[in-house]
Amino acid sequence: MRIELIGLSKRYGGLKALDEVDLEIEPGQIVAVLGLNGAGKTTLLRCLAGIAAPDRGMIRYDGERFARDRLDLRRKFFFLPDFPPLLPGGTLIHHLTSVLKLYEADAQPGWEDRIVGLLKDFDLLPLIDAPAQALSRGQAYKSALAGLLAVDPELWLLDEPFASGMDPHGISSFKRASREAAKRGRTVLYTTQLLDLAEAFSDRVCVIHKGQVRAFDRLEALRAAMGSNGGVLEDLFARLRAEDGDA
Amino acid sequence: MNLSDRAHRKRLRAAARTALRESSELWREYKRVRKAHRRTIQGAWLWWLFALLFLFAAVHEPHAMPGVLLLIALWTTGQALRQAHDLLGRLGNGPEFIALAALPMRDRDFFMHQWARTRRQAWGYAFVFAAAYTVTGLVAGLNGWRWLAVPMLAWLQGECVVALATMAAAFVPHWPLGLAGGILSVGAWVMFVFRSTFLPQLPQMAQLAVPAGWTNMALLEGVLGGDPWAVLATVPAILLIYACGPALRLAARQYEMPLDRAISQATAESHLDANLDARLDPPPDDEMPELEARVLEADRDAARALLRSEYEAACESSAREMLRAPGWRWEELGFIERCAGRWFTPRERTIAAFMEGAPPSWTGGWRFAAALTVLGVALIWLAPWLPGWVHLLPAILATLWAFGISGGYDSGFAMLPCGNQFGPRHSFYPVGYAQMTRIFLKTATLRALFWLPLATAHAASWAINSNFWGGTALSGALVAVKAVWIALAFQPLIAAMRFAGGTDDVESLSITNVAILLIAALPIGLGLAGAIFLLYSNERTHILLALVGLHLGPLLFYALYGWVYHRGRIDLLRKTPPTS
Repeated sequence: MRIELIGLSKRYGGLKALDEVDLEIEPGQIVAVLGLNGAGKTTLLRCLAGIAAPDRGMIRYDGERFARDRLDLRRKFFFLPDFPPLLPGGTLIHHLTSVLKLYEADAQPGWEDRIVGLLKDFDLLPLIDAPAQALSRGQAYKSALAGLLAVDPELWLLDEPFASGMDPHGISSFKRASREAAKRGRTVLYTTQLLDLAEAFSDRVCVIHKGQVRAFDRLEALRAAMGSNGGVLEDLFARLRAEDGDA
Repeated sequence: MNLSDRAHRKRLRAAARTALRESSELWREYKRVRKAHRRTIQGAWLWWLFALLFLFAAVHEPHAMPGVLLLIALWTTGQALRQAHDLLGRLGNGPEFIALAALPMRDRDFFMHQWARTRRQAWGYAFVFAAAYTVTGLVAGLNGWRWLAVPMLAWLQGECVVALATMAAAFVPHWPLGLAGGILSVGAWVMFVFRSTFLPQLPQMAQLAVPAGWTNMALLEGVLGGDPWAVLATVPAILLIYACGPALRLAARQYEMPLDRAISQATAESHLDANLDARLDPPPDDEMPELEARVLEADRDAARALLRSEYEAACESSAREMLRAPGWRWEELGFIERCAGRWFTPRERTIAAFMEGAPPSWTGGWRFAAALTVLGVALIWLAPWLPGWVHLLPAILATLWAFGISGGYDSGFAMLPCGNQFGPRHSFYPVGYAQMTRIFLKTATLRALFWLPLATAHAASWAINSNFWGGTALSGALVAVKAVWIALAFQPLIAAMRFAGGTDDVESLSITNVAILLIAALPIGLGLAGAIFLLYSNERTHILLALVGLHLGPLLFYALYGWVYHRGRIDLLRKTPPTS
């Protein structure tokens, strides 16, 4: 799914969380959204998910303007916040089947096998009867992630998936699934603070600083532009900090 | 109990501000952030709006003031019970509980910290009474030193509310305090709206039935009525406040922080192990020889390895089976749910299940309401000497069970943590405003249809027996039809309000939000005016106009809010945590 952000701005009182953000993201990419705390990463994801309301500007998915009543567009993406929104009062199976139905993705052939495969992959199979509130943070996140993977939407929006409490096996399963999804033309947009990980696991990085997009490019291009061989993101953040200091 | 020292906070803030001033950029950023997060409206402001409405009635109907004060007392008692319910909730759940459970804090200190919060919240009601008593004093021409009684009695009320909430939480924590508080509060409101019907039925001595009424008696009879002995009505209030101290100490001593709830994190491995152990452990009454037990222990690991693969295969097969089976079937539930299931489209059934979370119990609620109606009708016919409010109370309770007030579907609207804020569950899934409202309206229509015969039976009996509302069965039934109609007509507004509960629309004091509030007040006023005209008009033209206003107001509000909601003028996020 092609994403276009045109002049997107969001303020919280006098605080500019997003400031005239213009961005175009082509499908089939893994994009890491990076920035200091309070830079506007989560606000960007929330705006893309329709949860936060931009004050100005617009979001287009595949050329169509997104609004909350565009459920056809809404079904094309899945937002996974840092605290996974599992359905209460039910089991893991209840959650997964409900999510599939809400996304109208339960008519695809072989969906059961796919979910059982996901449950196995995330070590969740023994927990199918466990109530959602009995799951640990990492398990809850993996359960919600299994819902996302089962739906297989065109756009994945994930807030801090690598600080979600998932175990190493879960993280590597997620990375593998993301790469395969990107090959199928899916777009994966995630926020992180882990620069090493972002360098190793992204096609592009989007650096947000004080609500503005300061860099959006492939890592190789960033390296070339900054004349840096390794640790390009660390250099970039050091420059931004220095800029702040100068100001 | 204060979690941090005020002097320390001041010193730390001063030090931090000094550091901030060293950089103009940082100082500007600090000011921006401070400004951005300062302008919030507390949810409690709505209660002030309600209190003002009470006062409005007192000014316009001075003869009804004692009755209105009694209704305020009932409402406040309900609020005190809700405060107790909230306190108990905060002692065992909620974001603050989870955060504080992780700190090295004594159970008693945690209890006192949460109680102090309840105390602060409950004290707001003292201001409501101060305002109510001031207006009452002004209208009654209170003068001289007698004015001193107003702040004193209001202060006593505040303490009474705190004491009542504390006693309820300490001595009857397992009672349905939230429900009882809600019924009392809503009941007070219903009686206020229909005060011409209810107030003549309420004896003045009913003030003595609720703690908040004791000081009312002292004001009305003692200060305004000139009977000095009536001031003695404050004695039970003082005793209640005095008893609060020991009750608080007892409750604090007995309280144990349910830490297991805060850290309940079953891991996959432990879940698996628990299942395996259950299968490996011999039955407790098995008299296995010691040697055999040791052999089994030695083989336990081998057995576990075998069982694990067997168990995992069983899990997989079970998962496939459960994935194929639907969560619950509408056709297997009660008759109202079956009707709803048939009326809903397949997509609506899915969304309704998501919004409801668990199988609904509308039929169960209706059956209870039917039993209440039978009781109410029986009381009207068999015990006509009872006060009118006793006859009408079952009808009010039946309304709550048969129809509900807020429309249900709490699971879909539940607030979940989203970063540093809270968002409604529905905002994370592809379900829309119109879709959810359609389900809301269909459910309300069905429940109203089933509620109608109950309301009609009760109203017709009441009209005949008390010679009220026209004095005939038909005229009584007509009132019931009007009431059900009004309840139904307001559903679009209630649906929009449910969505509004999960947004920041009245949380941030921005120009847009104030404009939204002002614009929203117009259709609400139109709907309310329509409802009142419909109830009290008999002329055809007036009824038609009332119907137009009654439907146009809520629909206009729904459409306006929907426009704002869809155009993305509000965030589906709130800064304040959800109340328990």
